[in-house]
Amino acid sequence: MKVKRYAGSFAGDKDAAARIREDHLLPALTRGKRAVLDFEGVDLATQSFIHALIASVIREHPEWLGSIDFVNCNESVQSLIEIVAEYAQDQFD
Amino acid sequence: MQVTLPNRAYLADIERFTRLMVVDGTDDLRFVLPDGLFSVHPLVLCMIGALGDWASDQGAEVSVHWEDLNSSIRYLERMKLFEVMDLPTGIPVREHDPSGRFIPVTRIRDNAELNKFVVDFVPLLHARPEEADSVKYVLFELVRNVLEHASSAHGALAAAQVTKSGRLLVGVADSGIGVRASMGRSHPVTSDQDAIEKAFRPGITGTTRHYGGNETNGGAGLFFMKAMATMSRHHMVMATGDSLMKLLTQPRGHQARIHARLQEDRVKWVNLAVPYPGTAVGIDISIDETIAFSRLLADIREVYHLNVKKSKIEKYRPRFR
Repeated sequence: MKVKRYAGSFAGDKDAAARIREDHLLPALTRGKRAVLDFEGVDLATQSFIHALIASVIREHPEWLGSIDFVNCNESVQSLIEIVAEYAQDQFD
Repeated sequence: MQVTLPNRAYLADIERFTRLMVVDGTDDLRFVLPDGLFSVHPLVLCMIGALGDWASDQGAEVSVHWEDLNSSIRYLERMKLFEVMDLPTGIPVREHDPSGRFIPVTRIRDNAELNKFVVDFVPLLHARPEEADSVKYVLFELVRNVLEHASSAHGALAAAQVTKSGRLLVGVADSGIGVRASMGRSHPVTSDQDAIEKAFRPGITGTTRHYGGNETNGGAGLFFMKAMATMSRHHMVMATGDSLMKLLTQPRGHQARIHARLQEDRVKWVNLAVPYPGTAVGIDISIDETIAFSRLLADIREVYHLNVKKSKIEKYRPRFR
Protein backbone atom coordinates (compact mmCIF):
# COMPACT_ATOMS: atom_id res chain seq x y z
CA MET A 1 0.00 0.00 0.00
CA LYS A 2 1.65 3.22 -1.19
CA VAL A 3 0.70 5.91 1.27
CA LYS A 4 1.76 8.67 -1.12
CA ARG A 5 -0.93 7.67 -3.62
CA TYR A 6 -3.58 8.70 -1.10
CA ALA A 7 -1.84 11.37 0.94
CA GLY A 8 0.79 12.98 -1.29
CA SER A 9 4.30 13.87 -0.18
CA PHE A 10 2.97 15.80 2.81
CA ALA A 11 0.70 13.38 4.65
CA GLY A 12 -1.59 15.54 6.73
CA ASP A 13 -5.06 14.76 5.40
CA LYS A 14 -6.83 12.64 8.01
CA ASP A 15 -9.54 11.67 5.55
CA ALA A 16 -6.86 10.09 3.37
CA ALA A 17 -5.49 8.27 6.42
CA ALA A 18 -8.95 6.95 7.24
CA ARG A 19 -9.39 5.67 3.66
CA ILE A 20 -6.11 3.78 3.86
CA ARG A 21 -7.11 2.34 7.22
CA GLU A 22 -10.57 1.26 6.13
CA ASP A 23 -9.80 0.19 2.57
CA HIS A 24 -6.44 -1.51 3.02
CA LEU A 25 -5.14 -1.85 6.55
CA LEU A 26 -8.15 -3.26 8.36
CA PRO A 27 -9.26 -5.67 5.59
CA ALA A 28 -5.77 -7.22 5.44
CA LEU A 29 -5.34 -7.51 9.18
CA THR A 30 -8.87 -8.83 9.71
CA ARG A 31 -8.12 -11.64 7.27
CA GLY A 32 -4.98 -12.48 9.25
CA LYS A 33 -2.65 -11.21 6.54
CA ARG A 34 0.34 -8.93 6.84
CA ALA A 35 -0.18 -5.30 5.84
CA VAL A 36 2.50 -3.17 4.24
CA LEU A 37 2.40 0.61 4.61
CA ASP A 38 4.95 1.99 2.16
CA PHE A 39 5.90 5.60 2.87
CA GLU A 40 8.17 6.00 -0.14
CA GLY A 41 7.91 9.59 -1.38
CA VAL A 42 6.24 10.81 1.81
CA ASP A 43 8.53 13.58 3.02
CA LEU A 44 6.51 14.58 6.05
CA ALA A 45 3.48 13.37 7.98
CA THR A 46 1.58 14.86 10.91
CA GLN A 47 0.80 13.19 14.20
CA SER A 48 -2.89 13.59 13.35
CA PHE A 49 -2.43 11.68 10.11
CA ILE A 50 -0.51 8.83 11.72
CA HIS A 51 -3.08 8.73 14.54
CA ALA A 52 -5.96 8.43 12.08
CA LEU A 53 -4.02 5.77 10.21
CA ILE A 54 -3.07 3.35 12.99
CA ALA A 55 -4.14 4.45 16.51
CA SER A 56 -7.55 2.80 16.62
CA VAL A 57 -6.17 -0.39 15.08
CA ILE A 58 -3.45 -0.63 17.72
CA ARG A 59 -5.77 0.35 20.56
CA GLU A 60 -8.29 -2.36 19.69
CA HIS A 61 -5.80 -5.02 18.59
CA PRO A 62 -2.30 -4.20 19.87
CA GLU A 63 -1.03 -7.55 18.66
CA TRP A 64 -1.78 -6.51 15.06
CA LEU A 65 1.09 -4.02 15.25
CA GLY A 66 3.40 -6.98 14.64
CA SER A 67 1.58 -7.70 11.40
CA ILE A 68 2.13 -4.25 9.90
CA ASP A 69 5.33 -3.53 7.97
CA PHE A 70 6.19 0.16 7.85
CA VAL A 71 8.39 0.55 4.80
CA ASN A 72 10.59 3.39 3.50
CA CYS A 73 9.92 5.70 6.44
CA ASN A 74 12.22 8.67 6.86
CA GLU A 75 13.34 9.65 10.36
CA SER A 76 10.43 12.01 10.99
CA VAL A 77 7.77 9.57 9.86
CA GLN A 78 9.37 6.75 11.85
CA SER A 79 9.44 8.91 15.00
CA LEU A 80 5.76 9.77 14.59
CA ILE A 81 4.78 6.13 14.08
CA GLU A 82 6.73 5.15 17.20
CA ILE A 83 5.10 7.88 19.26
CA VAL A 84 1.56 7.04 18.11
CA ALA A 85 2.17 3.29 18.52
CA GLU A 86 3.37 4.01 22.04
CA TYR A 87 0.54 6.24 23.20
CA ALA A 88 -2.12 4.10 21.53
CA GLN A 89 -1.12 1.37 23.99
CA ASP A 90 -1.00 3.77 26.96
CA GLN A 91 -3.36 3.82 29.85
CA PHE A 92 -4.40 7.44 30.37
CA ASP A 93 -5.15 8.54 33.90
CA MET B 1 -14.54 47.96 21.01
CA GLN B 2 -11.30 49.73 20.25
CA VAL B 3 -8.12 47.81 19.45
CA THR B 4 -4.95 49.86 19.40
CA LEU B 5 -1.80 48.33 18.01
CA PRO B 6 1.19 48.77 20.32
CA ASN B 7 4.61 49.71 18.96
CA ARG B 8 5.77 46.20 19.69
CA ALA B 9 4.04 42.94 20.64
CA TYR B 10 5.49 39.46 20.29
CA LEU B 11 4.64 36.33 22.23
CA ALA B 12 7.00 37.21 25.08
CA ASP B 13 5.13 40.47 25.65
CA ILE B 14 1.76 39.73 24.08
CA GLU B 15 0.08 41.54 26.98
CA ARG B 16 1.16 44.81 25.35
CA PHE B 17 -1.48 44.02 22.74
CA THR B 18 -4.24 42.49 24.84
CA ARG B 19 -4.07 45.44 27.26
CA LEU B 20 -4.97 47.76 24.39
CA MET B 21 -8.21 45.94 23.61
CA VAL B 22 -10.81 48.07 25.36
CA VAL B 23 -14.58 48.40 25.39
CA ASP B 24 -15.45 51.89 24.21
CA GLY B 25 -19.21 51.84 24.60
CA THR B 26 -20.02 50.99 20.99
CA ASP B 27 -20.48 47.71 19.13
CA ASP B 28 -18.19 48.89 16.34
CA LEU B 29 -14.58 47.78 16.01
CA ARG B 30 -12.14 50.69 15.78
CA PHE B 31 -8.67 49.50 14.81
CA VAL B 32 -6.18 52.23 15.68
CA LEU B 33 -2.56 52.22 14.49
CA PRO B 34 0.09 53.92 16.63
CA ASP B 35 2.18 56.90 15.67
CA GLY B 36 5.59 55.93 14.39
CA LEU B 37 6.92 52.54 13.44
CA PHE B 38 5.68 49.32 15.01
CA SER B 39 6.44 45.63 14.86
CA VAL B 40 4.10 42.80 15.87
CA HIS B 41 3.88 39.01 15.84
CA PRO B 42 1.74 37.40 13.08
CA LEU B 43 -0.58 36.19 15.85
CA VAL B 44 -1.56 39.80 16.58
CA LEU B 45 -2.52 40.34 12.94
CA CYS B 46 -4.59 37.15 12.87
CA MET B 47 -6.35 38.11 16.12
CA ILE B 48 -7.26 41.54 14.74
CA GLY B 49 -8.53 39.96 11.52
CA ALA B 50 -10.67 37.50 13.49
CA LEU B 51 -12.00 40.31 15.68
CA GLY B 52 -13.06 42.00 12.45
CA ASP B 53 -14.94 38.84 11.43
CA TRP B 54 -16.63 38.69 14.80
CA ALA B 55 -17.62 42.37 14.71
CA SER B 56 -19.05 42.01 11.21
CA ASP B 57 -21.13 39.06 12.41
CA GLN B 58 -22.60 41.34 15.09
CA GLY B 59 -23.60 43.82 12.39
CA ALA B 60 -21.00 46.27 13.69
CA GLU B 61 -18.89 48.61 11.59
CA VAL B 62 -15.18 47.88 11.27
CA SER B 63 -12.79 50.76 10.66
CA VAL B 64 -9.03 51.43 10.71
CA HIS B 65 -7.41 54.71 11.73
CA TRP B 66 -3.90 56.17 11.40
CA GLU B 67 -2.26 59.57 11.26
CA ASP B 68 0.72 59.29 8.91
CA LEU B 69 1.42 56.50 6.45
CA ASN B 70 4.73 54.80 7.18
CA SER B 71 6.58 51.59 6.38
CA SER B 72 4.93 49.70 9.26
CA ILE B 73 1.49 50.44 7.84
CA ARG B 74 2.73 49.38 4.40
CA TYR B 75 3.84 46.16 6.06
CA LEU B 76 0.28 45.51 7.25
CA GLU B 77 -0.86 46.08 3.67
CA ARG B 78 1.73 43.60 2.39
CA MET B 79 0.58 41.16 5.06
CA LYS B 80 -2.92 41.59 3.58
CA LEU B 81 -4.46 42.40 6.95
CA PHE B 82 -6.64 45.17 5.53
CA GLU B 83 -7.71 42.90 2.67
CA VAL B 84 -8.96 40.10 4.95
CA MET B 85 -10.77 42.73 7.03
CA ASP B 86 -12.41 44.08 3.86
CA LEU B 87 -10.90 47.50 4.48
CA PRO B 88 -9.55 48.73 1.15
CA THR B 89 -6.83 51.31 1.79
CA GLY B 90 -5.38 52.00 -1.64
CA ILE B 91 -1.88 51.84 -0.16
CA PRO B 92 0.54 50.95 -2.98
CA VAL B 93 2.91 48.09 -2.16
CA ARG B 94 5.53 46.16 -4.09
CA GLU B 95 3.91 42.74 -4.31
CA HIS B 96 7.11 40.99 -5.36
CA ASP B 97 9.48 42.40 -2.80
CA PRO B 98 12.04 39.58 -2.46
CA SER B 99 13.03 40.44 1.09
CA GLY B 100 9.85 39.15 2.64
CA ARG B 101 10.21 35.86 4.45
CA PHE B 102 6.59 35.88 5.49
CA ILE B 103 3.23 34.34 4.76
CA PRO B 104 0.51 37.03 4.60
CA VAL B 105 -2.69 36.75 6.61
CA THR B 106 -4.63 34.12 4.74
CA ARG B 107 -8.19 32.89 5.20
CA ILE B 108 -8.65 29.11 5.07
CA ARG B 109 -12.16 27.67 5.11
CA ASP B 110 -11.77 23.97 4.38
CA ASN B 111 -9.29 21.12 3.97
CA ALA B 112 -8.84 21.74 0.26
CA GLU B 113 -7.85 25.35 0.96
CA LEU B 114 -5.60 24.15 3.76
CA ASN B 115 -3.72 21.73 1.50
CA LYS B 116 -3.37 24.43 -1.15
CA PHE B 117 -2.26 26.96 1.45
CA VAL B 118 0.57 24.75 2.67
CA VAL B 119 1.75 23.98 -0.85
CA ASP B 120 1.45 27.54 -2.17
CA PHE B 121 2.55 29.66 0.73
CA VAL B 122 5.30 27.83 2.59
CA PRO B 123 7.76 28.41 -0.31
CA LEU B 124 7.25 32.16 0.24
CA LEU B 125 9.37 31.81 3.35
CA HIS B 126 12.37 30.80 1.22
CA ALA B 127 13.01 28.16 3.83
CA ARG B 128 15.48 25.31 3.62
CA PRO B 129 13.91 21.83 3.56
CA GLU B 130 14.41 21.20 7.27
CA GLU B 131 12.87 24.59 7.99
CA ALA B 132 9.96 24.02 5.65
CA ASP B 133 9.02 20.78 7.44
CA SER B 134 8.50 22.62 10.72
CA VAL B 135 6.55 25.40 9.02
CA LYS B 136 4.27 22.98 7.18
CA TYR B 137 3.69 20.87 10.24
CA VAL B 138 2.79 23.72 12.60
CA LEU B 139 0.63 25.66 10.15
CA PHE B 140 -1.22 22.60 8.96
CA GLU B 141 -1.98 21.25 12.43
CA LEU B 142 -3.04 24.58 13.92
CA VAL B 143 -5.36 25.41 11.03
CA ARG B 144 -6.75 21.88 10.96
CA ASN B 145 -7.61 22.29 14.65
CA VAL B 146 -9.67 25.37 13.81
CA LEU B 147 -11.48 23.67 10.94
CA GLU B 148 -12.31 20.65 13.11
CA HIS B 149 -13.20 22.27 16.40
CA ALA B 150 -13.96 26.00 16.10
CA SER B 151 -17.26 25.95 14.18
CA SER B 152 -16.13 29.21 12.63
CA ALA B 153 -18.19 30.48 9.72
CA HIS B 154 -15.16 32.42 8.53
CA GLY B 155 -12.65 29.57 8.84
CA ALA B 156 -9.16 30.27 10.12
CA LEU B 157 -6.80 33.18 9.60
CA ALA B 158 -3.14 32.15 9.45
CA ALA B 159 0.11 34.07 9.02
CA ALA B 160 3.81 33.41 9.55
CA GLN B 161 7.15 35.12 9.47
CA VAL B 162 10.77 34.03 9.71
CA THR B 163 13.09 36.37 11.58
CA LYS B 164 16.68 37.06 10.55
CA SER B 165 17.82 34.91 13.47
CA GLY B 166 15.96 31.91 12.07
CA ARG B 167 12.97 31.90 14.35
CA LEU B 168 9.62 30.93 12.87
CA LEU B 169 6.68 32.97 14.15
CA VAL B 170 3.27 31.48 13.46
CA GLY B 171 -0.18 32.84 14.26
CA VAL B 172 -3.62 31.29 13.72
CA ALA B 173 -6.91 32.77 14.93
CA ASP B 174 -10.63 32.32 14.42
CA SER B 175 -13.92 33.88 15.49
CA GLY B 176 -15.54 30.56 16.34
CA ILE B 177 -17.08 29.12 19.48
CA GLY B 178 -13.90 29.11 21.57
CA VAL B 179 -12.15 26.29 23.39
CA ARG B 180 -14.57 26.24 26.33
CA ALA B 181 -17.61 25.54 24.17
CA SER B 182 -15.72 23.11 21.96
CA MET B 183 -14.23 21.13 24.83
CA GLY B 184 -17.51 21.39 26.74
CA ARG B 185 -19.20 19.21 24.11
CA SER B 186 -17.49 16.18 25.60
CA HIS B 187 -15.98 17.16 28.95
CA PRO B 188 -17.05 19.15 32.00
CA VAL B 189 -15.34 22.53 31.77
CA THR B 190 -15.44 25.09 34.55
CA SER B 191 -13.69 28.06 32.96
CA ASP B 192 -11.75 29.22 29.90
CA GLN B 193 -8.51 28.42 31.73
CA ASP B 194 -9.76 24.93 32.56
CA ALA B 195 -10.68 24.46 28.89
CA ILE B 196 -7.19 25.48 27.75
CA GLU B 197 -5.60 23.11 30.27
CA LYS B 198 -7.72 20.23 28.99
CA ALA B 199 -7.04 21.11 25.34
CA PHE B 200 -3.28 20.78 25.90
CA ARG B 201 -3.45 17.57 27.87
CA PRO B 202 -2.61 14.53 25.74
CA GLY B 203 -5.49 12.11 25.42
CA ILE B 204 -8.28 14.70 25.80
CA THR B 205 -10.16 15.88 22.72
CA GLY B 206 -13.41 17.76 22.37
CA THR B 207 -14.69 15.12 19.96
CA THR B 208 -15.14 12.32 22.50
CA ARG B 209 -15.56 11.77 26.22
CA HIS B 210 -13.01 8.97 26.14
CA TYR B 211 -9.47 9.60 27.29
CA GLY B 212 -7.07 8.68 24.53
CA GLY B 213 -9.43 10.06 21.91
CA ASN B 214 -11.12 8.14 19.15
CA GLU B 215 -10.08 6.82 15.77
CA THR B 216 -9.70 10.27 14.23
CA ASN B 217 -8.62 12.44 17.17
CA GLY B 218 -5.94 11.58 19.68
CA GLY B 219 -6.04 14.81 21.65
CA ALA B 220 -2.31 15.19 21.07
CA GLY B 221 -2.14 18.00 18.51
CA LEU B 222 -1.67 20.94 20.87
CA PHE B 223 0.54 18.83 23.11
CA PHE B 224 2.84 18.36 20.12
CA MET B 225 2.86 22.10 19.41
CA LYS B 226 3.71 22.76 23.03
CA ALA B 227 6.47 20.17 22.89
CA MET B 228 7.95 21.80 19.79
CA ALA B 229 7.97 25.23 21.44
CA THR B 230 9.42 23.75 24.61
CA MET B 231 12.21 21.83 22.90
CA SER B 232 13.23 24.87 20.85
CA ARG B 233 13.01 27.03 24.01
CA HIS B 234 10.51 29.53 22.67
CA HIS B 235 7.06 30.80 23.59
CA MET B 236 3.58 29.58 22.78
CA VAL B 237 0.34 31.46 23.44
CA MET B 238 -3.33 30.51 23.41
CA ALA B 239 -6.10 33.05 23.98
CA THR B 240 -9.79 32.22 24.25
CA GLY B 241 -12.61 33.80 26.23
CA ASP B 242 -11.21 35.58 29.26
CA SER B 243 -7.98 33.58 29.49
CA LEU B 244 -4.61 33.83 27.83
CA MET B 245 -1.99 31.14 28.41
CA LYS B 246 1.64 31.94 27.74
CA LEU B 247 4.11 29.07 27.79
CA LEU B 248 7.35 30.54 29.07
CA THR B 249 10.74 29.61 27.71
CA GLN B 250 12.80 26.82 29.21
CA PRO B 251 15.80 27.96 31.25
CA ARG B 252 19.15 27.69 29.48
CA GLY B 253 21.62 25.16 30.83
CA HIS B 254 18.94 22.62 31.72
CA GLN B 255 17.43 19.88 29.61
CA ALA B 256 14.08 21.03 28.27
CA ARG B 257 11.24 19.09 29.89
CA ILE B 258 7.86 18.31 28.38
CA HIS B 259 5.00 17.64 30.75
CA ALA B 260 1.56 16.17 30.20
CA ARG B 261 -0.21 18.93 32.07
CA LEU B 262 0.09 22.68 31.62
CA GLN B 263 -0.04 22.95 35.43
CA GLU B 264 3.43 21.38 35.50
CA ASP B 265 4.86 23.68 32.83
CA ARG B 266 6.30 27.18 33.14
CA VAL B 267 3.15 29.07 32.22
CA LYS B 268 1.85 32.57 32.78
CA TRP B 269 -1.91 33.09 32.83
CA VAL B 270 -3.37 36.46 31.86
CA ASN B 271 -6.97 37.43 32.56
CA LEU B 272 -8.29 39.29 29.52
CA ALA B 273 -10.35 42.34 30.47
CA VAL B 274 -12.05 42.09 27.07
CA PRO B 275 -12.78 38.42 26.35
CA TYR B 276 -11.47 37.15 23.05
CA PRO B 277 -14.33 35.73 20.95
CA GLY B 278 -12.94 32.57 19.37
CA THR B 279 -9.49 31.07 19.72
CA ALA B 280 -6.02 32.35 18.89
CA VAL B 281 -2.78 30.38 18.97
CA GLY B 282 0.73 31.67 18.41
CA ILE B 283 3.91 29.67 18.47
CA ASP B 284 7.60 30.38 17.93
CA ILE B 285 10.04 27.65 17.02
CA SER B 286 13.66 27.57 15.96
CA ILE B 287 14.17 26.31 12.48
CA ASP B 288 17.89 26.57 12.03
CA GLU B 289 19.93 23.56 11.02
CA THR B 290 20.81 22.72 14.63
CA ILE B 291 17.25 21.57 15.34
CA ALA B 292 16.14 19.59 12.33
CA PHE B 293 12.52 18.53 12.40
CA SER B 294 13.36 14.83 12.64
CA ARG B 295 15.60 15.53 15.63
CA LEU B 296 12.82 17.52 17.26
CA LEU B 297 10.43 14.60 16.92
CA ALA B 298 13.00 12.18 18.30
CA ASP B 299 13.44 14.46 21.32
CA ILE B 300 9.69 14.68 21.82
CA ARG B 301 9.40 10.91 21.68
CA GLU B 302 12.15 10.47 24.25
CA VAL B 303 10.72 13.03 26.64
CA TYR B 304 7.17 11.77 26.12
CA HIS B 305 8.34 8.29 27.04
CA LEU B 306 10.07 9.52 30.18
CA ASN B 307 7.65 12.13 31.46
CA VAL B 308 4.21 11.57 29.99
CA LYS B 309 3.75 7.89 29.40
CA LYS B 310 1.91 6.31 32.28
CA SER B 311 2.38 2.65 31.45
CA LYS B 312 6.08 1.85 31.37
CA ILE B 313 5.48 -1.67 30.10
CA GLU B 314 6.43 -1.92 26.47
CA LYS B 315 3.93 -4.10 24.69
CA TYR B 316 4.13 -4.23 20.90
CA ARG B 317 6.50 -2.24 18.74
CA PRO B 318 6.18 -1.17 15.09
CA ARG B 319 8.30 -3.05 12.55
CA PHE B 320 10.31 -0.93 10.13
CA ARG B 321 12.16 -2.24 7.11
